[in-house]
Amino acid sequence: MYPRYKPVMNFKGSLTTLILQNLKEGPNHGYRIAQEIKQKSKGVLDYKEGTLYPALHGLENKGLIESYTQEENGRTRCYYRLTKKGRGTLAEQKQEWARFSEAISLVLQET
Amino acid sequence: MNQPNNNKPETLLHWWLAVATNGLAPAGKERLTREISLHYAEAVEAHLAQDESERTPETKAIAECTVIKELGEPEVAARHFRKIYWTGKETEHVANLVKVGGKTPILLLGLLIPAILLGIGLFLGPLAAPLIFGGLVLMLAVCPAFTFMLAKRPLTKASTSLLLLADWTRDIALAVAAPIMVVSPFRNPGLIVGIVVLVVLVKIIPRIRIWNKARKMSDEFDETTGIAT
Repeated sequence: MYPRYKPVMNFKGSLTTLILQNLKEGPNHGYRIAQEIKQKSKGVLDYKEGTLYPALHGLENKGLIESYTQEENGRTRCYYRLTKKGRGTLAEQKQEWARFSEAISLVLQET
Repeated sequence: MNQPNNNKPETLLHWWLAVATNGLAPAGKERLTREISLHYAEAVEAHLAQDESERTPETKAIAECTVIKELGEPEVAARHFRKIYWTGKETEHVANLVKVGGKTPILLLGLLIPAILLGIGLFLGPLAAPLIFGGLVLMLAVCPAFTFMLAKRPLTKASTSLLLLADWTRDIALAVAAPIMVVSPFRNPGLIVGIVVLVVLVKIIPRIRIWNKARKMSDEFDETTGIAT
């Protein structure tokens, strides 16, 4: 008998983890976050802005990231950085993802 | 899908933003417009830098159209935005709660209404009238009065949630308990069930989204409404 497991991670909810992971490497702004996720996933994960910005602002509301503005080439840009709470959440979500993807792989494995 | 009035790329961005942020409260609209406009400008620059051909108005227009396409359907974006940002109607609703709901005459009315209903209830003879009267006073006058005293201005997410709760208890009390006062539920169970279903459909369900958003808000305030965004 396996312990009861309630999955909290799915493919749709993975964007927040990807954003947190991206910000772990340092502060970043929306456009670059989207570009880096796209590049690192070799073009597979191409999130639209309609999804990206609500996710960013939602994470900010939860206190997982924080924003600040900075002047750059005459433009006021909004940067995001990871908070301490965000670091903790990222570690949990990565563990959860490993568990989730392992479970999917086991099911898909050809016997 | 809404069609832009003309094909000028600059107008296309404005059109995209107008559709995607339609109905949002000023704070959310302003923030999204600022960030997406910057995102757009940067993406256009990146497209132009990739293109080795000479920069002409045509190549710029192509780059801008490509970026607009990359932004995705504005209607889809609007659905995402509405899940996380206050709409104008929602902020208006919360602002009205503060403006009207906390006033002394309204709170006193919360005592007067149960008193009138008690009179009618006793006249018609339901046994539970005094008990329901107590409940009504609690839901219409006592709870809202405490809530409005506790709610801090500007409104934090906790205060907004409290105000919404007080608003709900008032609606439920008026729409459900009041008919019970004058119509015995044992004689007309169908009527009472019908009223409860109607109140849930008309009053409670549409406001669950507001409640949910209030829980997810940060504690930064919209200067125009004084509500956390």
